[in-house]
Parts: sequence; structure tokens; C-alpha cells
Amino acid sequence: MPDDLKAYFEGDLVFNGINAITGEYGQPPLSSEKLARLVRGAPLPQDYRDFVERQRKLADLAQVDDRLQPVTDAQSDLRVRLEEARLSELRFKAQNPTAWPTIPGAGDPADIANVGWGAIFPAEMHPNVREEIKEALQPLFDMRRERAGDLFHIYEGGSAYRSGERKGQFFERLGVGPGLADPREMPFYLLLVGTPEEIPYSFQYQLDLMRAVGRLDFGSDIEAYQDYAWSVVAAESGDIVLPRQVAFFAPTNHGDKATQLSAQVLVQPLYENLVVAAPDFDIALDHDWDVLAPFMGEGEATHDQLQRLLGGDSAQTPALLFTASHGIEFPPNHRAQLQQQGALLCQDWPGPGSDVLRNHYFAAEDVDTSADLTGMMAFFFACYGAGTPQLDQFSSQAFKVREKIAPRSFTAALPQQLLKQGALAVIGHVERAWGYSFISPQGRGENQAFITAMRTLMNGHPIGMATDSSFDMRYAELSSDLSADLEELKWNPSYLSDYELVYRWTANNDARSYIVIGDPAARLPIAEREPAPILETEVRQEVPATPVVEAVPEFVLQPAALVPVVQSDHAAIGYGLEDQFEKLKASLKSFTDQLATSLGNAAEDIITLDVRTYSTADIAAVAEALDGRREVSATLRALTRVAFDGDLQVYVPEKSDRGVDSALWSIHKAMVEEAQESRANFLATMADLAARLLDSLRIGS
Amino acid sequence: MAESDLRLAIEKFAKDLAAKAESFVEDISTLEVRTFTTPSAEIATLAGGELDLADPTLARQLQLRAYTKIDFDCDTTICLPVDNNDQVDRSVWDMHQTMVMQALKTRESMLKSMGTALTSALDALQRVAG
Amino acid sequence: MTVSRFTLTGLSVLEGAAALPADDLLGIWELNAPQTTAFAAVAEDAVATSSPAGAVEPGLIWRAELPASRGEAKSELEARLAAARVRQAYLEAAEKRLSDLQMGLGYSAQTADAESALLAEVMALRGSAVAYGAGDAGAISLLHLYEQCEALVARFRRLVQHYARVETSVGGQPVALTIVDWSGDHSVTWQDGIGPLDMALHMDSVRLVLATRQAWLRLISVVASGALSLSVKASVPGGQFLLFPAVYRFVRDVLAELEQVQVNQEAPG
Repeated sequence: MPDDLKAYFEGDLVFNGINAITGEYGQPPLSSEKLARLVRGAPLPQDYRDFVERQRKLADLAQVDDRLQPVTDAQSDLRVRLEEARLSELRFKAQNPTAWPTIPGAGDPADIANVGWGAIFPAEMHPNVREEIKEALQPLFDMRRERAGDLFHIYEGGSAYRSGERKGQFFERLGVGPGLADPREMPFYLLLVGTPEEIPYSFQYQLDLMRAVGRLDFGSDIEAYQDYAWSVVAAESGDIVLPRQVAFFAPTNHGDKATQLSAQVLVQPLYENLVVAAPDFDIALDHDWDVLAPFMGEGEATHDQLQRLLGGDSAQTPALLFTASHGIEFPPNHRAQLQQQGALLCQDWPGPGSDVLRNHYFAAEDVDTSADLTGMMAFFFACYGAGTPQLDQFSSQAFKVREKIAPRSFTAALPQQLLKQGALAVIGHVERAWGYSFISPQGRGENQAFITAMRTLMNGHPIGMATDSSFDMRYAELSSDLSADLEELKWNPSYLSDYELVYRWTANNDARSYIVIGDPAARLPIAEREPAPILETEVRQEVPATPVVEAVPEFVLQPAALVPVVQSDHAAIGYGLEDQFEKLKASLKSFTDQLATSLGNAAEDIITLDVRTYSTADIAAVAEALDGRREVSATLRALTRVAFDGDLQVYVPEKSDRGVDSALWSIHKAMVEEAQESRANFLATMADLAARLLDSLRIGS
Repeated sequence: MAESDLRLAIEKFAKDLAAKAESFVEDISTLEVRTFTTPSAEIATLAGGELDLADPTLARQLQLRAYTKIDFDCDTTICLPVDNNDQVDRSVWDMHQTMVMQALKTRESMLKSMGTALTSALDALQRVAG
Repeated sequence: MTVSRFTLTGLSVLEGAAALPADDLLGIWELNAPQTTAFAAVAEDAVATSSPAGAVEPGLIWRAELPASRGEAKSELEARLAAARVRQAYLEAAEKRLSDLQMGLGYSAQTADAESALLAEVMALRGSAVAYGAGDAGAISLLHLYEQCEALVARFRRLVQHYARVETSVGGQPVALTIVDWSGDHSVTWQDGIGPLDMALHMDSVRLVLATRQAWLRLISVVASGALSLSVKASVPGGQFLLFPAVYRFVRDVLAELEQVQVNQEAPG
């Protein structure tokens, strides 16, 4: 296997990302030598000719003004200075022995009560829009504020992000120091609210180094913000509990090295790792997870299958989905670019050079409109899967040319759509995913960052922590090394092989460009950690302390406060209301009769409490059947019988297919809890009512 | 139904409650949770009427897969579900465990409401007797 | 955007129902409204009549018709659950005020609050010198009140007679149906393929129905025991029946008064 992997570096390198119009790779295949030249910023004349030729082709596809602009000296200078600042922070992070970039003593970073939560609005945003968005997000803000207390902060008005501001400037203006995150200065979890034009990706990358950052960008769709806020609140309030199920989706397009590589070297080993709950040297999973075999290759990783995984079939929709595929790209200004760039290319595409048809890739509009994705999270390994910057970073590095690849920077539509339909967050890639980031030049799979991210998520930790401990740390390490390497290479050209340089450069780019779409403090709503099973047959176990029977205040009859005035029982007669009085009396009697009957039945029924969960393909038919029009036809999926003393009998079907039973089980369990509580209330109310009526009758007779 | 009938009904309800409260206090000394499963994807398809768990056809399909008994003196007996390889069947066990936790939790709240109900019922009974 | 509706059907066939307000005294459910949901349309009279042999007689049908936006649906349900809790607290307050009522103390015929109105009625029933003012108008008002109480009690009778059937639809699509019988047995039927958020919405609908049912029982309990307590204090023999309408009106007035206080507190400025 290692030799095979090494071979990937020896032929032409192919990259993730397929142009939807040409059916060709977005970035044409390159040899390692050529890529190494470009990375060093030392292209040969032929490299320029290839670049110009490609630009000519692209120009036929799209009309964009000033698509190519030379990088000016000022821009170069700025870039160098930015690079230096970034490097010092990266070195600090890479060398810092603490697991999290928070100051010592801040406490568990998984809890926003310790490390805070904030939202950053752009100063550019119109105040009316900002107010509307804030109002829509209020439930989320309220929940975060309640937990974070003083460590909750909204950055708006004077403290909003200002256009063009770099992280250092932003921090300086707000009096926030560099280095490890001090939540008292600025919360650790930060939600950027706005488009990447308003708050650029470069700022997000920088901020993400020492903090957990996510972004919400629904444009002017205020309702989407509101729905999203409610999804997070519902997930964290315990209303939503998802079955612990993770799925993988990995096309292997015919004749395409990139997807074969991602399937074999990324997805398959990732799957094999996650199947083991507690492997050596990895984060142990706190819960048992249903790790589904990957939907991979022919007949598996299809467009239809992806639709089912993304809510088209709730039984197949996992809590966590990982995909590795090509992302679709369009020439800049193409009418479909904003809506479809970053869409996931499925197995349906025949392979490089073939036309890309609309049903070959899965875009935002392919998500079933009725899909309920509440609580789920997804990880898209694909070019532009999370978004697209306006300018291509690679051209700048290689040819000192800023190439406009989109009319403006934008967030990918697919993750936005998932969030609109209930998903809590998506991890995805901005820019081109280079693919080789998970193979070392020695031919080893380097999946650790993916494994760490997935395991952190599966343990119910905030998604911002999942990326921080994996890709951010990896970025810190790689970037720090790479800049030293590039410096050394200037003096010693044989310091690194082309493979090694290409690997470090692509891996560095890849690790940098993962971002979180959604609240960085969101976590998978899976069941709480349950106690480990007790394997002995006879063990001692604590039972609740001896219960205290609480007495209710006794209903005491008040003594007559006035001197009794003996009146007719029918005082109402004076008003001519005899009939009504009699009717009311009869009515009350009828009520008490019914109550007596119901009490009698209740006394019998109370012995057991049954909770039954059925499912049906046609619930309206069940409603009709209950009205006596037809026979009821429904499938009993779970039954719990609670005896009066609390003993339980549970009847469940064996798990038979993908998660149906676990989803139903969660809701059944919640119903049982509800029923038991309602039974307890019922008992108390009925006893109280009975006692009062009894009194009433005693005195009335 | 005359007033006396209602009184009788309420008295009966109160007495029943009191009796149940008594047996509850006795029965509470042990807590048992049983989990049964069927091999298929459903327990039964209902076509009119109620499901009878004692129905022999159904009873044959139902298997007791997990059992927990917690005695008053804290002794706990657990029968674990195992699969064909003698490994603990986690899916069944997880379900079972959550129900044991649930049973322990609700037993407490049941005790409280039994206390409330019993107080009211006995109170009413006393007043009737008085 | 679909508008939420919370309706309860199965009560309009009751005699005298017209005398009662169309809401549920708690401001949560709309009673006897025409049905628009995706569930089978059920005629009001079909609910009241017995079904063919073997089938169970249908009870009251509580329907939560929710908008397609899950967030909005959730917030709507939560608002109503919160309202139910608030009304429960108001009921407790009404009960407290009833028990605090001191006959003959601080009473003035001119005072317009609920306590004064109740005491005036009690005095009138005791044959005290206090009258309603214009006798005929008082009699008509009392007649109306008797009718209301009768309908109310019939409504409660129905409540204790039947199980509750809760139907939830989201964006016009049926989601689930739950039957809760008197002692708390739950049977829930889910539409195949619905997601966890819709499940949670239905759970909330069921909670709302149970909270309402609980509040109604509490209401009758407060009125019945209040009437009894007052009849003893005021020495009105058989007064627990006579005073029932007056106490009912008192409780209703207190609920309205507290509601108004709440509205005023929430009003801007």
C-alpha cells in the first residue's frame, strides 16, 4: 500500500473540484515537480504559457471584468507582514503544551460558562437588517447568555467588525491581547454573522487560530435565522435526541484518481477507525455508535442515496454525515455559480472529460423540501464545500496574479440549506480542497485530524472544539514548518523533495481552509452518557434514599364568619331562577356521576400504565378509523407497561434497519416519561377533587 | 346516580387509593424492569381492537432479553442480553438501561404524588367517617 | 406562511354551549371551530354518537395545526405552554383570594373588584339588604350565569367521560395522533418518515392538552370548593350549588383581571 500511495505523487497530481461546464478538473493535473515550482513561486516559462492558455479557455466561459490583476508591491508587503504575524501566533499555538488555546484556569472549554460565547456583526451591515437578524436569533442569544453570563458578548455598533480590518487591528481596537484566548477579554466561541464579503474568510481563518469560530450567513432570509436559532435551542433543551448513527458517502468516479484516493485513503480508514470505540492513541468514544459501512463507489454513492442521507428518508438520515467527493465549480459569474458552486459530485458522473449533468451533483435545491434535519451535522470534504473566496489563492502564490474566481466571496448554498432545515452545523472547505493533505510523501495515510474531529463531535462536544483540536492544530503545525521549509529552500534547493514540499503545501492549505458553518458551540444532540453496563450478576447498587411522603396542606373548613341567617335553600326563587337553579343542580349531579364512574374506572386502570407507539403510512386513515369509519391499521413499534409500583415491562422489536427503531425509541422513551408524570399529576388532582367534592356533598346533604 | 352513589364512588376511590398506596409501599421494596423483544421490525400490526400480550401467537414471538431487579437492600440482579457470539447486545442493553434509570427516577416522583393523593384521600375518608 | 390554530372539537353538541365563550377560559384552545387540518374531517355530531360495535367511542379531538416553519411552530407551542402555566398560577391566586375573602370586611357596594361583586351576590342570596341595583338586570345576568355554569359543568362532564385525542399537523401535513385515556395511558401513532423536530412538536401538543385538562379540573375544583367554603362562611344552606355560578364568575373575573395586569405590564411605555 505505501508504494501505491507514493505512486500518487509520482504521476500527475489531480485535484478535487470538477468544472461543471467543461467536465474537467477545475485545476488541471500537475506533476509534483511543476506544483513544487509553483509553490516556490518560481514558475518556468512553460508554466506561464499553460496558465495563460487556461485563462483563455476560462475567458470563453465567463465574462468578468479585471479577472486577472497583478499583485502589487504593496500587496506583497502586506502579505509578508500578515504572514509574519500569523506565523508567530501559529508557532505559539504549535508549541503550546495545553490542549486548548484558552488561558490556564479558564476551565473546561466545552462549557461556555467557562469560556464564553459571542457573536460578531459586521459594521457594514445595515442597522435595520442587523436588528432583524438579532431578533430572529434572540432565542439562541438568550440561551447562550443564560449559560455564559458575563462572558456573553455581542459585537455590534462600535465593537463590530470593520471592513478590511485584520484580526490584530480588530483585537487592538477592542483591547484584546494576542495569544491564548482569555474569555474575559473576548469569548472563546465566536459566531460571525454575515457574508464573507462583510467579514472575510481571511479574518475567519485568523480568528479561528485561538478561538472556536463559526459563521451564519443566510443573507436577507430572516426566517432562516429564526428557524436556525430554534433548531439549536431545541437540540440543546433536550427536545431532540438523535440516534447515535454516523454515515459516510464517498463516490469513486471512473478514471478519477482524486476520488479513488479520498475513498480508499481517507474514508475507508476513517470508517475503520471509528468502528472501534476506544482504539489505542485515540479519543475513546463515550457512547456506542452505529457506524454504518460507507456508501462508496458504484451503486452506493449515488445522488439518490445522498438525498436519502440528507433527510429524504428520515430512517436513513444519520446524526453525523461525512462525505468526500469532488465539489462542483463554475466559471466566475456563471448564473449557477452562487447557488451551486461547492455542490457534491456523485457517483452518477461517468468520470473526467464526461459532461456533468445536473443530476450528477447534489446541490442545495436537491434537499427534500420536507426533510427534517434537526440536530444533524455534516462534514463535506470537497472543493468549495463551505464557500468560495473571490480571489484564488493559488494563482497569487504561483504567478503573482490575483485571479478572480467569483464575482464576490460567498457561502456555499448547500450547507446553508441544511442549516435552514434544522442541521446545526457543517464543516466544509473554502477554496479548493487539495486532496493530498491526507497522504504523507512517505505514502502513509494522514487522517488524524479527521479522526480527532469526528471523535470529538461524536462525544457530543461543541463543533468548534472538534475543528480546533484537529485542523486548527494541524494548520498551526504545518504552517509553521512550511514557512521554515520555504525559507530554507531558498538557500538549499535540495532541502526537501518535490513530493515533500507539495505535500506540506497542500496539507497546509487544506488544514487552514476548513470552516464551521453554524454556531461553533453547537453539539450533536445525542443521548447523555449512560452508565457502563454492570457485568456481574450480583452487585451492590445505590438506590434512592428513603422517600419522604410530602403532606399537602389540609383543606380546613372556615367557621362561619357571620351570624347564620337561615334562608330558604332556594334563595334564587326570589329572582325567578328556579328552573335554572334546578338545571344547574342536575348538571352538577350529572358531572359528579360521571366523575364517580371515571374514578371507578381509574381505580381499576391505575394498576398499569401503558404507553404504545405505533407508526403508519397514512395517519389520516387512522384518524378516520378511530371515528369508526374503517378498521385501524397501524404497526406497533414499542410498548411499555408501567406497573403501579414502578416495575416496567418494555416490548421492542429488534433493530432491523437503519435507525428507524432508535429514532422511534427516543420518542417512545420521552412519551413514557411524559405519561408517568401525567399519571402522577392525575392522581394528585383526582384525589384532591374527590376530597373537595366529598366535602361539598357532605355539607350539602 | 344519587349523591350517596357519588359518595360511595369517591369513598371507594379513596379506599382503593389507600389500599394501592399500601401495596405500593410493600411492592416498592423491589424494582423490576424487563425488556422483551421481537425478531422482526415491529411488535405486531394492529388491525382493530386492542393488542393482547397474552395472545399465544404473540407470546411465542416475544423474548425476554434483559432483566434488572433492584432489591430494597440494594442487591441488584441483572440478566444481560447477549448476541450469538456471547457478546453483550448493546442496542438492547442501552434501551434496557435507559428504562431502568427512568424507572428509578419515576419511582421517586410516584412516591411523592402517592403521598399527596393518599393524604387527600385519607383526609376525605376521615371527614366522611366523622 | 401558515397560521397556527389550536382547536378542540366535540363540545358544540352540548346543550347550552352557545352560552359559553368560544375559548377555553384559559385562552389556549379555540372551541368548536370549523376544521381545516389535513386530518380526516369529522363532523361534530359524528364525535358525539357512538361508533359501530367494537369501535371505541371517539372523545374530544384536540388539534394543533402548526405552521411549516418548525421554529415558529415551536415558539407558538412554547408560548401556549407558558400561557397554560401562567393560567394555572392565576387559578392558584384566585383560590387564595377566595379563601382570604372576609365577609363583611372592607366591603363596599361601590367597589368594582371581583371580591365586591361576589360578596354582593352572596349577600343577595342571603337575603341581605344589598341588591344588584336594577333588579331585573341582575336577574337576567344571573340567569345567563346559571346557563353558562350549566354548560360549563356539562363540558367538564364530557372531559371526564372521554379520553383525549391529540392530533398535530405541521404545514398542513399530519404528523401524529395520540390518545390519552383518563388514567394516563398513551397511544401514539406517528406518520411514517417524520423527523425528530416534528416528533418534538407533537410531544409539546400532547403536553399542552394535558396541561389544559389539568387546569380545567383545577378550575372546577376551585369553584366547587370555593362555593362550599363561602356557603359555610355566609351560612347559606345548600349554598354550594347556589353559589357555584357566583364563584365561577369570581374566578373568571380574577383571571381576566390578572390577565389585564399582565397585559399592562407588557405594554410599552
